[in-house]
Amino acid sequence: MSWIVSSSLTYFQRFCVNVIKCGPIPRHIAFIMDGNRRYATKTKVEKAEGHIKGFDKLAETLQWCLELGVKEVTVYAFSIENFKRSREEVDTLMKLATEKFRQLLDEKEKIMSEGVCIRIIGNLGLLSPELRKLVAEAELMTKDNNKAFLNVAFSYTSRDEIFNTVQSIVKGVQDEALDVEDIDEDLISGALYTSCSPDPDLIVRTSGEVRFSDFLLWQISNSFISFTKVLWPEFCIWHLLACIFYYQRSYNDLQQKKARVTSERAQKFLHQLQQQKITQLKSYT
Amino acid sequence: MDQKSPSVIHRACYLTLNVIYTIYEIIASIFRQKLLIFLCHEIDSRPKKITKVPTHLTVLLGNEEPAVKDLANLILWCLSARITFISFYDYKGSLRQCEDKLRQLVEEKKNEEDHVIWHSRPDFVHKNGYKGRKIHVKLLGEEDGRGTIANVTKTLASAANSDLLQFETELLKQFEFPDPDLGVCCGKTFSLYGYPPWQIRVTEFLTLQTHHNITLETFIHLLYRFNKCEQRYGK
Repeated sequence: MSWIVSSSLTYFQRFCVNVIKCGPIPRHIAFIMDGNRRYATKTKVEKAEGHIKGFDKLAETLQWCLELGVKEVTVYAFSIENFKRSREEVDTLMKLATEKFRQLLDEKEKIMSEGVCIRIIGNLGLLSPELRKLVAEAELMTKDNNKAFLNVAFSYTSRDEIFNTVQSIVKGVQDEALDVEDIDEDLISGALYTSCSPDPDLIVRTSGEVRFSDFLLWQISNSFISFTKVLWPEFCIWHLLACIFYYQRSYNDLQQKKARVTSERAQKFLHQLQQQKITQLKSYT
Repeated sequence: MDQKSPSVIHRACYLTLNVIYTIYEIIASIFRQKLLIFLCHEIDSRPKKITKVPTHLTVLLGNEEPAVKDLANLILWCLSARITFISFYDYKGSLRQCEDKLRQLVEEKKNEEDHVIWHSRPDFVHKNGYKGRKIHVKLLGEEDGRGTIANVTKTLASAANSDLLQFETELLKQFEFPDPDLGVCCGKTFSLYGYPPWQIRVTEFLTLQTHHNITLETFIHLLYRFNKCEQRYGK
């Protein structure tokens, strides 16, 4: 199945989507797509099959988000901790990712015409050179698109992200690009892997787990949380609509915060950081 | 993509949906207490016992105003359940203003041989060698959140040191407690309201409709729900 699929909604479902659209729609949703393996066990298929079903569900969910008017989606595809799984499973997942990113490059026309910008957040240094090259190509190819944004957290943990950011800021001070006085919350927000995205308004975790497992810990500080029991491959439009409806019910109680970096020096530093990132991606291709 | 703006019919449906849901919420809040008592009886009759309790329970007050009497009860119940750390996160900072009252209430109600160690005071000194049961209590505020990480970054930058161990040591110095293993979010809105981000990597989060007039049954039910959570640590 490809990255961009046509709408699978029935007439009635589309009607309900339009009903929900009468309320505030989250600008950015983060998903922890959990439950692929439990789904495989439950339906008595191979684990790999569960992961493939999980990817297909992602493509479908992205389409629903587009129809709902959600501009940005971040998904937790692979955690650094997941490298601890059996060799066989890690290999299968890497193979699946390689295949999907290759397919993404093949579908260039479709992706570009939909205007989807794809970013990979994570520690790319831990990936195989082959996968790293594909990922970098995909990101560079779509970097100027701005109709919809998909961030894929791959080889990611939040602590790794925060600590790397802290390190780059400390280095910035050492190189005299920054002053100690420039350091604040907003500077860190601007220097994280997710620097180009606003914080998620809604975070959804499937499969009944009630923790964040090192995903976007900094960014979800003020997000609305939705834990749902359904396994990811069984996630359907009704679950998504329910999550958004709960978000709408709490909308007025949520804190709306926007990061703003005011110091010129800090802005220049963040700009440089962004340039460095692009240079690094280019070096991978 | 269907881009047409919502019609009157859509709006009417949306309004109806909200009205129905509000009615449902009201009915549910009336029956919740009864349902819970029923559920807890069911738990008691089961042979299965609570096999693990959290080491550090953290209570997120959310948008609720702190009810000192109920928070005091929570501290005492945690003492009985052998939970050794409890913290309260109040981003609005109202709880700090009634800390004295909370402290007084706990001191009055607790058994004499139990020890409650308060961490949020500047005059706090840690003493070892208590007999009896003990619990550490700390109040957290918004400044303990992202801001602490920014401050620690400043410290590291001033010392030109960017070692992970140093970073974690500095953070722990501020947070003092082990990472919470159970977080209880109070109120209708399920959000972290700026809770310290570094510490919640593996915290299990449960919701509590309100901490006002919380009963022992509800507390036990929370522990029971925590007991069912299973950690996989990425595997």
